Amino acid sequence: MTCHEQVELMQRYLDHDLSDTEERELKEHLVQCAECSGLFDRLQRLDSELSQLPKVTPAYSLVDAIMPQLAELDRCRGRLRKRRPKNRPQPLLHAASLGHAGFSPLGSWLAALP
Amino acid sequence: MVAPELVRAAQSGDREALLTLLREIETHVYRTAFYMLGNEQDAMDASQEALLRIYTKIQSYEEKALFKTWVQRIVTNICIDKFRKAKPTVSIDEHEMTFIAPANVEDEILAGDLSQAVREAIDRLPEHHRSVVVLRYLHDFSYNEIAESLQLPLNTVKSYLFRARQQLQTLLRDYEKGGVRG
Ligand SMILES: [Zn+2]
Repeated sequence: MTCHEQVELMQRYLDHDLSDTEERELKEHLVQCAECSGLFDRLQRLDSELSQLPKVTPAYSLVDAIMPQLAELDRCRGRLRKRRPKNRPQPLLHAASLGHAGFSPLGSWLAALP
Repeated sequence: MVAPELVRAAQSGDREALLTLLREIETHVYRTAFYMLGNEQDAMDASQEALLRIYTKIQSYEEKALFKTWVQRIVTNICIDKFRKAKPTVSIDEHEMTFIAPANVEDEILAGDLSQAVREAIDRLPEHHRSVVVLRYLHDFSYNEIAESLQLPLNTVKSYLFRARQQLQTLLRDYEKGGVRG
């Protein structure tokens, strides 16, 4: 096995994706190859740094922040539902334009309503 | 982990259940947006947009996918859209993916703040590589869960993750060596 193939084993090792045989093979190679062994140390250090990235949380409740918009959405949907015959899909729910909403999604959705 | 019964109640039109569900996921949504966009303000905007979208699209979720991967698909898509809008001219060729390291990466490492340096380095990754790293390390997703979230083939997920780690370790090694940028 070439060094290049060992690098893939190192990567998969970080994700706990190696079989016992593959792991043994990697460890044997690392003992004899200084270059791979150096890379493996750096990858392991990076992996540990990435695992310790701060688990950030929002400064205030996002759901509380969007409550007014949710109420407005409910009002609009109520209006649509009254006007539409039953058992028809509601366009607001599946509108393709949802996929490209900008920074103020609610504004653009509401603007698009009849 | 959101209970399947809660998801079903929310889908059946129980508004309280839907609000409870949104409260349970808001931190996870925000965490992705924060690491995707690199700052608090954009992350707040993107997360709120994601929660609104989940509120209106909850009916379209199907149980064949995990709920958490469905949620992450929505938030990563919103972040990638914003990322493209913010930097419309940037297109990084896969084969020439190089880092243009900002001066502060060097400063952070010299200051011994490796964790901050890692974050700065993540900010330089192309959007899809960054999403893979975020799902793998901030959410402990498996290869399969990442593939489901990003709707990418499994091999592509692995190749993005491996390439991202390779690039990150190169960047950090170069600066740890006290390397002068060339
Ligand atoms: Zn080797």
